[in-house]
Amino acid sequence: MSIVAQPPQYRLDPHARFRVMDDEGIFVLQEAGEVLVVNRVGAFIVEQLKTERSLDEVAEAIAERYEVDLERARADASALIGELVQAGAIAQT
Amino acid sequence: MSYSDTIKRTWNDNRMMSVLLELTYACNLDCAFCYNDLSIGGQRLSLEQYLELLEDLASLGVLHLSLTGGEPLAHPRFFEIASYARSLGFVIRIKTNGHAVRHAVAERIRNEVDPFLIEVSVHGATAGTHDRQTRVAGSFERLVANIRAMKAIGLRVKANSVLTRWNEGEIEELLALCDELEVPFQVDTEVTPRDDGDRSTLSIEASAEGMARYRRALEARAQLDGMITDTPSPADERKAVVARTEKHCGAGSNSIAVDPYGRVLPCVQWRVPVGNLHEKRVTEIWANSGRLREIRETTKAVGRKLEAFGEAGQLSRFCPGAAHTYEGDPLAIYPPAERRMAASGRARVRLTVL
Repeated sequence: MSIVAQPPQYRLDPHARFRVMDDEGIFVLQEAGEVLVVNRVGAFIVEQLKTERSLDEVAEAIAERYEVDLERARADASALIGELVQAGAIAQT
Repeated sequence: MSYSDTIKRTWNDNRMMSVLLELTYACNLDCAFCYNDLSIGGQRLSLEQYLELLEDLASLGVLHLSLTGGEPLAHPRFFEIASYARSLGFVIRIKTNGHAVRHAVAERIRNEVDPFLIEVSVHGATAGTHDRQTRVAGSFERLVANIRAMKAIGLRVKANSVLTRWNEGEIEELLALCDELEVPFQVDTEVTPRDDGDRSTLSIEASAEGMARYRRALEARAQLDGMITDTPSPADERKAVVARTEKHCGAGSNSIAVDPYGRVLPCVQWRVPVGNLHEKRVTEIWANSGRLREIRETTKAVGRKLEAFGEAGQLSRFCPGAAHTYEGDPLAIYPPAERRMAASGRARVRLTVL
């Protein structure tokens, strides 16, 4: 029997709060007492993570929405999600 | 992009961002300077109306939600309202006197509401002073125990106090108490008239010496903490906040308050109804209320008026809601604002000229 590793899944941290406001998104990190503002693409990425998603799923959604190639979308999503995980805004499961 | 830029944009674009819900005027304490107008009556909002309101606020993009009173926990459906607000993703602040937040209640709040902050009212550093203001014996001991219980389970707590003639003599001890409890502390130096204009509460306003003592305590504390290095003037800070917007404040532009009877107000201090939730949904009031449009224009007029006073205007900490309560005119220079302007030096001369 072989074990297939599942890719990491990401979702909005349950203690973080997020709202989209026009062309940007605002995070309130309740634990840290900090506010983060992300741009339009960042807000779109975070919207995807209101339900649990893998990096590839998020990248596909970006590529489709903004008509960019998948590799570019994956790189952008990876960079932002990495930062947001570090900040405690996104949880990795 | 910065958060302050975002806030300014909400003022300019009339984007609702913060809402304060006065859930009830019922309270388990009896504070001497309470500003609530208990003579107001009407039909209370039902649970269904609150849930619909919260959905509407979420659809408008509101981020910050404050639950207050009276004592918000005295509302019989508090947990249903607050937990629904949590599910809709609001950043929730609960403004409570803390009297009812014993361990089991604190745990329910943490588990069901997950608030960003619980703001409690601490009126003195001793039972004698605190209980004198709350007019409930034992309230100080119970509050301190409850703050410890809240902190112990990881709730974020902040202490608020109104500086009065009764507690001004123990401000240093009050700061020390909050240090010991490990809660941030904020003092409001202004006792306000009641919402019905009754000024009897002003009899316990802090004295000039009490205000000076408070300022000295803050300065000593800031120096001790190494916080004062090259301090910009308060006027500079105020200018930075209001830069690039014509409005003096966000009342009715990025925020509203709602009283227990469904009256929608531009701000908790500016008690001019701009609509009623028994008649219209908040989305319609926000988009179409003529009174709200007038309020937004008034905040611009306030900005222009204070600009003419220069630095004194910036230092006045002018509140159009307080002006309305004191004088019936949101543009009137009311006594505490005038005192602050006068204290800034040149203000009195300018007041005469203008």
